[in-house]
Amino acid sequence: MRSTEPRLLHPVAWWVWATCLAACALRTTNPVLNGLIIVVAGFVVAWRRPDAPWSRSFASALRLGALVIAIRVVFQIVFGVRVPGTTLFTIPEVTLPSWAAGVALGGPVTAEALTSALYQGLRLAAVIACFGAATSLCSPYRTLRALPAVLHEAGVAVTVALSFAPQAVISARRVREARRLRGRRDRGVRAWAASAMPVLEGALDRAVALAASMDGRGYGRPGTMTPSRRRTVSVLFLLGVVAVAIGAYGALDAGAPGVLRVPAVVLGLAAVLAGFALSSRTTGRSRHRPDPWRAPEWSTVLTGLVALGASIVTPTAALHPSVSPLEVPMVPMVAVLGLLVAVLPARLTPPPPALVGASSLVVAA
Amino acid sequence: MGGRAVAVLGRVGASAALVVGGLGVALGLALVLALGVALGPGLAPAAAAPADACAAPMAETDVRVVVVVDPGDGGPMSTTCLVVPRGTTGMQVLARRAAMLGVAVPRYASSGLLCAIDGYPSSGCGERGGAGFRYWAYFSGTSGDWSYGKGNPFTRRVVDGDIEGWRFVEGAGNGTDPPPRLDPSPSLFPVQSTASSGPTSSAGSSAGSSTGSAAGAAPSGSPSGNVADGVVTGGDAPVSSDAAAGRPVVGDAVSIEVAGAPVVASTSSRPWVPVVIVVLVMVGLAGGAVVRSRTRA
Repeated sequence: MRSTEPRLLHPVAWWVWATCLAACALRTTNPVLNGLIIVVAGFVVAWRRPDAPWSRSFASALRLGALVIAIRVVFQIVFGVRVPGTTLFTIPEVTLPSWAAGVALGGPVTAEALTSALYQGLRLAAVIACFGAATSLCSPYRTLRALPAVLHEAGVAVTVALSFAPQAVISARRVREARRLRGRRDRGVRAWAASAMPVLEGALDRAVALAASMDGRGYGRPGTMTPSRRRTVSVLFLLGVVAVAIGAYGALDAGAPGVLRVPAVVLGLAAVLAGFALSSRTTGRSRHRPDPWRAPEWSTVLTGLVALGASIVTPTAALHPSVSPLEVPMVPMVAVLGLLVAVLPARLTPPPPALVGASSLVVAA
Repeated sequence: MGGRAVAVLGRVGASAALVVGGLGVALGLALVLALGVALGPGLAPAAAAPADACAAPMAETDVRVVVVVDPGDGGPMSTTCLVVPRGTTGMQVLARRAAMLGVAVPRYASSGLLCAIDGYPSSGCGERGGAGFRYWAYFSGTSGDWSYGKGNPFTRRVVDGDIEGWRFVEGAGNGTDPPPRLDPSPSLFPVQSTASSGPTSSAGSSAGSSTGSAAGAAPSGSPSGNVADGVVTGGDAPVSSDAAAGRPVVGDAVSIEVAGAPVVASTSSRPWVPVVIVVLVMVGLAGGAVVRSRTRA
């Protein structure tokens, strides 16, 4: 099987790749690395996204990232940490009462403070771009199929909810056309308010119809789990999630005893996985045309892991450039090369089929 | 045909515009950095004031603060008395101290976490050690005892007679972390030569009145304050006790030992070349992506 034959890559492969890139972004505030992460994700999306309604979400992710940066900078100017340094301009300052002493409102805005806001905003924008890449590279319905059986019911609900947004857009277009045909205004606040109700109603109707048809095809039917097993699974999940939460807290708190750190996380994950295994066995679910997992999937996952590994071996000083004193960010060659490896899925994976039409939106599930 | 050619031209134009836009963003970021790099060292000495200004009469708009910096195992302790304009925050006091002593300015992470004072530690920020986090703990000693983390040094404005303590510790990050190894007391302040109000015939008072006018004109601590002090001392930047010896100072407890490295020109030593290369790679990839998605659309 040659990798050039058009097919969609397994969604889990894209999600692992994107999650690795997002983890790289979370590990660093270096603007060079975060910019490179956004560009790498964008490049792979441009070459490997299918022609489908969901695959245009990367541009929206970029816009959302730009908005995040702008909001971060504005918040830094108004409320931000008053890092001393080169004052660019000063805004009026409000002296807050002592109980709000942790918050600064106004005051001198320094180049250092603005740079720190830019770095942090860019990091968040890079994370958003990574998940935008994952959502535009793989169909949400195929992703749902790849979920473990336990999460299947939650996944069905998510699918119905996911179909609501595009339905609302289509419905809005229809209502506007109808208004125009009747000779009413289709712009302005009043027109928008008048059409909101029919739009919502129409979209909800369609989502309900989808849910009903899925129900008719056997989605959402209860498994054959006995009550006692259901209870065991619930207890395992609850204990596991609580243990993971405690472990995550312990890992961050320097004063926590050692037992509450890694062992708690490992124990919690084990409990959750045991719960998965127990309940998966009793959720009867068949697969129609399962997605294959071949060499391109392995290579995609591997490139993501290489990028993450390169980020892990990079010293912290290079990942977090100092903003005060301002300095030219270091360019850690290992991390840069690791990220460039993550571009390779643009060539290593098979191209997407020419047309994954809207008809497969529902059928693929 | 014509329409198609126009469409292709439009696509090429749009992608070119996007590439140029990307370049613009990169250049903008570079400019902000370059601006900071260029202005940073230029403005830093502006905060410098003679260290023995603490013993001289000061203006109504000024306050006196003592900063105790204890790097723990990282070197000797330093105690510095500064005269700063009213309304200065704890972090600005720290920056003025570095400018006055001529040591490396405090280093911050992008989150605003204080990483290093006087260049110590030389790398890392709040790293985890065996017994907890290794960080600079902030204390207030104004009451006569060190109290941990009293107020936010970014926003808390110092008042006259404040004693600010910084100790590099390895600990849990709460009040159990050890304070600086020097008891805070008002004796850390040198005795002021005269009261700043009421003119007398001594040299100190004439300096006092001129200090007042100078500080009134430039409350942000511009070097013009030096003029007034030059009358009295011949103002020498990093202080020594003999500079103060000629003054009517009694019970001077101020001793300054600077632990850290001298000011490091860290900004100019790192070349721009790798950044520019990576930015060019990014622009190439982004251009490829844009062209690809335009031709598919």
